Amino acid sequence: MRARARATPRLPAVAALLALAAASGALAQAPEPAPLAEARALAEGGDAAAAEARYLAILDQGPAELAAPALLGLARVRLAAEDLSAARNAAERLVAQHPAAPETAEGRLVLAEILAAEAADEAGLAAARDAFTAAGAAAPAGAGWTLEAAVRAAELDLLLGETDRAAAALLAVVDLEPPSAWQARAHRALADLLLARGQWQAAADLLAGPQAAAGRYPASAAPELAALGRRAALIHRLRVRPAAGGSPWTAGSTVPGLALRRPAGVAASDDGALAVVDNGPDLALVWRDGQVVARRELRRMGRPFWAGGAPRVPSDDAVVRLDTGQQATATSSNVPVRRVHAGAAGPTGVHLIVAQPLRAAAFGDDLRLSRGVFGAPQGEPEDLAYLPSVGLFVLDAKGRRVLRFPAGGGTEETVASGLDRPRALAVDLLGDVYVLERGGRIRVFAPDGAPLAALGPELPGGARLDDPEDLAVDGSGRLYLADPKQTGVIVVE
Amino acid sequence: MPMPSLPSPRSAPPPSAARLAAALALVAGLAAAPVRAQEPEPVVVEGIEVLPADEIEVSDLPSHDVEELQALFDEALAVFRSVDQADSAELFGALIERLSEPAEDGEEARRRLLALSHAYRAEVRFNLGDREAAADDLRAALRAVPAFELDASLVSPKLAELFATVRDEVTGTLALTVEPADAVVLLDGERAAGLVAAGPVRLLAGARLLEARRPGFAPFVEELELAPGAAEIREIALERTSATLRLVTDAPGAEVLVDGRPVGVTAPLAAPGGAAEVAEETAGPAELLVEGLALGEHRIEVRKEGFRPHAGALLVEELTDYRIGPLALEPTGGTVVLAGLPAGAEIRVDGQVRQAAEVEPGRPALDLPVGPHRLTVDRGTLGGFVADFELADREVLELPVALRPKLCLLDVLGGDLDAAERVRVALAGAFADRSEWLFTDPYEDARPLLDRLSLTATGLRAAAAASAIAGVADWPDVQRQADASLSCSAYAVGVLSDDLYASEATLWVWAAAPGPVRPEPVAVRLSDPASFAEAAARFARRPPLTTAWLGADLLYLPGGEGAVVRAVTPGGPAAKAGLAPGDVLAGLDATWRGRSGEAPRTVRIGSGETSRDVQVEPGRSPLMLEPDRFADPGEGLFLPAVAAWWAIAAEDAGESDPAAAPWVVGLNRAAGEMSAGDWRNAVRTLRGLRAPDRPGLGRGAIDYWLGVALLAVDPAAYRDEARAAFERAAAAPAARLHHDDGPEVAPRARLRLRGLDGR
Repeated sequence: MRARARATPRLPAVAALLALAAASGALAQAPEPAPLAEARALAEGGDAAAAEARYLAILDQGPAELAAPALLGLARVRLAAEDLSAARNAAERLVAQHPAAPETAEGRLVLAEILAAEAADEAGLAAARDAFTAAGAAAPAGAGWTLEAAVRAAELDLLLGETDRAAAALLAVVDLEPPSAWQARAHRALADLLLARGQWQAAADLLAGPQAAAGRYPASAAPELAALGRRAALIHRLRVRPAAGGSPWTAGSTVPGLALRRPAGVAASDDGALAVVDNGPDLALVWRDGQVVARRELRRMGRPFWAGGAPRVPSDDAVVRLDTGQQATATSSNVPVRRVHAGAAGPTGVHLIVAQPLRAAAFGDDLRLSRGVFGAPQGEPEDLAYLPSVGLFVLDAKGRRVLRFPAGGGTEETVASGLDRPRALAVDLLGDVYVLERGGRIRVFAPDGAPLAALGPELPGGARLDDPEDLAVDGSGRLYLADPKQTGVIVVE
Repeated sequence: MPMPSLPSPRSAPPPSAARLAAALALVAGLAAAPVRAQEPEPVVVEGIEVLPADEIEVSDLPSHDVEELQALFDEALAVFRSVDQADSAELFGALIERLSEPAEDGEEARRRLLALSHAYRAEVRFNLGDREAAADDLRAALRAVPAFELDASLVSPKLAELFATVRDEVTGTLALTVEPADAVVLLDGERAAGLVAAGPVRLLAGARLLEARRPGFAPFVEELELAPGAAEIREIALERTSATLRLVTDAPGAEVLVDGRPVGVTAPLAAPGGAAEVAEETAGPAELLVEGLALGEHRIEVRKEGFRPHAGALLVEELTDYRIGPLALEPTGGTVVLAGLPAGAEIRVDGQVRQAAEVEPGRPALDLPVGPHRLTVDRGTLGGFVADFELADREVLELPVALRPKLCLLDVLGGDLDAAERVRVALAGAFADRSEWLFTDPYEDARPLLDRLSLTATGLRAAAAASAIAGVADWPDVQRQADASLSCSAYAVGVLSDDLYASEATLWVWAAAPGPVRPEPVAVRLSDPASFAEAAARFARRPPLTTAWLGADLLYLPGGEGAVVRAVTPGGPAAKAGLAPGDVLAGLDATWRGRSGEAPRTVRIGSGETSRDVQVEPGRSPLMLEPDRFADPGEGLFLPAVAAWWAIAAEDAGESDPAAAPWVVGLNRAAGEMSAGDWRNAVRTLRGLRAPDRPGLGRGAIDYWLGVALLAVDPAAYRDEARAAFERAAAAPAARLHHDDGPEVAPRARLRLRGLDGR
């Protein structure tokens, strides 16, 4: 084993970067010089601006031997703040001015991270993947971040459809690396790949390891362990419990505390946070841990969705990021793009359904159309969902079917057909397809198209659906329904 | 001649005896000697038993001086028989003169020759008419042998008459009876058993001291004035005064106590005729006669150092002779049962090699004398065992033999000799505080080995700095040679940090075969005693080779909701307990998660009102530690040390416990080698394993790890071999990694295969 990483995953990004900074500090044999230690403490404390100022002060005033670690710290802080160009500036200075410094190899890792964040298409992803691989190969012996390089390269391989290579790389981490946040993250990525392939038993097998040995993991791995736990719950709900003769869902109710007037759209993150569209007051909000954490008034809203860990909602021709308010307008160099109706994550940027021309298409980070996926006159895209390493799912309302477009290209397949006026689509981590039909009827299909379950309008526990317009599923398999005739989001546990 | 037949010396040929007999017969006027002389009946002269000739030992014989006298006698006798009989008087006279000189030996023979010589000369003188001289000779013959007889029918009546006259002048007779018959009769202080045996016995006249004694009786003593020609008669009845006890032991030297008082020590029984010899004997029956026992009960104790004592009560109901024994003197001792003694171990007790006998199957034991002992068990490279114990008589001491691995410090290399000595002393001290390992520093024995290996401080320092320790020596050869010449479980070579002034040292430690051949470093600081204790502590950790087996695949639910049974292994503990897929195990505790449970566990199935408790008896599964655990600071696993422990565990388990079989040890060793990045040796180790085709951890896991290790050595060169290994692993549907509840091998192997294709 080359790597002995004590790093943390990038999600949440700031925590991960702080931990990485800690790892680089731990590598040093001598105690960390005071100025660097101060700056790192500031970054760990969440004061990115002060940390950046301290690093800049070291660069300005010396001593010279601290320039390389200061540049690395600066690049890390800026990357965590998603200030990509500034981060790039610091990392490139490090590489150019201190080619022999021990920090420089890690600077290349930061550059790879920037490449990945900026990738607009698959070529960009591949370049980032190669940069991670190169950084890992150039790492000095005992570097704490080689595991990060390996896992990140594998994750990008997954996005690129290079699943076999990714699986082998992740498996090497799973088999041989000691418990760490990055090692847990490798478990998660590999489990997701297996889940998406329908190998839920193998995925469950993989999840059990870190969970049984939870005590050996550092505190920084807690978010990843929680993610593994959610997947276990999902497998329990959708595979084990039905196999034992039970029902996946046992109770439907309204999400307590979330009062709405005319809920029309809902999206759920893996960890159960919701993005909700309320057409009563034209309000979009984010609900997390029992409270509204973001609220924006928007007009002509489409279906909300999560992409890149952020809640987003289409509004007219644009997509608005609900947590930051960042707004981008969908554009195309060939055809005028109007009215975004629905969205989903993509390998780079997002997938969107636009009403004019009626089409499901891939858009880059900058919301420029990069590739059309599906549209009229073959059918009428109504909703979409994305599962990394599997691909894009599109609900064709006119064809009353669900199509799957494989990651990395290839011919689309029909996953479900003969639907009754389908309205919305959701996909869980197992690749199960949830279709909401008119009248509050929900049908669930296994990845191979076999009917798995049916639900509604009567829900277990006595609740009843009227005519919901949108549905979502979170990482634990909980269903969420936006029914305009109700005053809240219905959750089915 | 009517002499008592005389014994012939064995050294003298039988013709000599016949000749003597013939001579006597001639003296007695007989033509042919009676064959009496050839009958080996003992005759008694004044109570002295004389054995027949063939019972006399050579050493009892008179010296050559007597033989010479005998020859002179034969010569005189020949003259006596010749026509010149008168000349023989002078020859007999000369002989008598010589026989009268003081002599050191041959008393009996001399006396008889003297008596015979006088008798023959008396006959010569009598025939020559010198009656007085003849009478003197006959007197002299009787003084020499008072029981001397002259058969009146064989000699001339006148000579017989003269002999009778002379005999009555010189001797008298005593007819003695003694009651009880076994009393010892003493005449003039000498034992005279013949006095009581055969009617009147002729004795020299004069004052004689007659005694009769017998234990338990009052002694009889009389100063007897035996008048010439008198015929005395004594009928002695001894008076019983006490009881006696004859106590016989089967060996001499036992102290006897009567009523708590020591009364003597048993001595060897006097063999007839050879008392002087047996006195030195230490074996064989021995006895002690205890006198003076009064009526009543007496407590008799017999004891001897190193032997078990006897004790008992003797009830003296009447004054008579009692006898106890023979008592067997059994050496005292106990038995040490060497529980768990490994096969092939050399056992020493107090430095002596011993063989243990099996008192019952699987329980080898040693019989040992009482007292303190030191037992050492040496099982070569597996290690040894030392125990000091004290054994009581008849104690059966159960001594669990738990092998401890043996660490041998071969040398501390480097020019700072003072520092080297300090390292050695500090290490010995650190290990003396820990009982898990046996620590030795066989410097002298290791010297030839180190010389051959040409390991130097400079070379090891440079290799360590370059992370190239594997290349500094042919380590497999080092291991082989060390095992052959020193037989330790692990070896250490210390390297000082500096030749002039060392502040630190690195110990390069490797295990004995079949342990890993690659040495691992342990750092110690001379100024820091704690660093030596830490170094010793690294050896102590003994990770298990087995773990609990539930026989169920679990899915851990988030938020402490327990776990869900995903699948159940048919026939496993969970299946036996009735667990089924879908059951939620609410009461699953940390011991299950840590996989250390051995005792029955209670798990709660379901939740709320529908829950119920289920008893699960965990099974046992072989365990392969995850490779990363060797690198985990929390685990503290030091491969050379744990390899030694595992070798012992595998030996202990043997075939009785397949869960800790050699292939499990090998698999764990491979895990350590993989953890250290020692992929080549990991491949060697894995390829050498012969695992059973069993569900769970077994052949499938070995194939899987072999594939992993091959790819790590060289993905291009060993691609096909790795593929074949993964294919075998993928074809083992029941195979698991790490333990019998571990992750399934086949899905991972398939992923690896697809990865190979995807590259």
